[in-house]
Amino acid sequence: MYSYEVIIEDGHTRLAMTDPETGAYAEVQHKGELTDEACQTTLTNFFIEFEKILNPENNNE
Amino acid sequence: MALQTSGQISLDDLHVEAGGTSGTQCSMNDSDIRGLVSAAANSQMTFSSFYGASSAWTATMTVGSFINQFFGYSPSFSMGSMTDLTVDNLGNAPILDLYHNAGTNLNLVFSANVPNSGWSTLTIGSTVFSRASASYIYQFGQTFYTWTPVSNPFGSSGTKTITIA
Repeated sequence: MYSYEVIIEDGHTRLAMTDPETGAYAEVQHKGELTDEACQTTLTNFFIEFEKILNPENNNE
Repeated sequence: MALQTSGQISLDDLHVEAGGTSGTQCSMNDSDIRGLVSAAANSQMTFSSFYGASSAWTATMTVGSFINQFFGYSPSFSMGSMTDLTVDNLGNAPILDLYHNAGTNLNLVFSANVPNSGWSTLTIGSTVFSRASASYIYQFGQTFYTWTPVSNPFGSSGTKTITIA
């Protein structure tokens, strides 16, 4: 489970969180309802996609 | 957008160009306003010295590609080039990559810690991306802005004007 805060800027909603293990700080775009379940899904999916950004050669798999 | 090159300029004009909100308090000695003309703190400035000043950073990219899936600039893929990689209106933040990835993501990567503030738009050619609409992550000394899903703003070759304002 991620711990996060909600940021709203110019009509865009971001979920802000810090990874306690790596110290990484992220603000992740979120669309849709602001339920915890939806936010957890957004964060989980983002970090899966972010792995592909960090390792773009895996996009071809 | 750059300030006018003649006529009357107000302090509010300078504030807005520097990224401030119109009608809010400011002074010519504020660092963001001084930064428009690279003036030192407490130095003497005239309004005319701000003619044509801009808070925007601009460079030209020669668009590169890699395996026909990545387009833009990325040294790690040996693709593309840019005329300037130091974004002076973001504290001289060094650009590491700017590319569109596998049909979905636009990625702007700095090899430094860049706070998620201080700029509003990334313009590639005529396509504008707002900072507020990006996801942002800082880790291991690198800052990533990623927009998804977006179509490729670079095309597959040629040059594009890149502006961060």
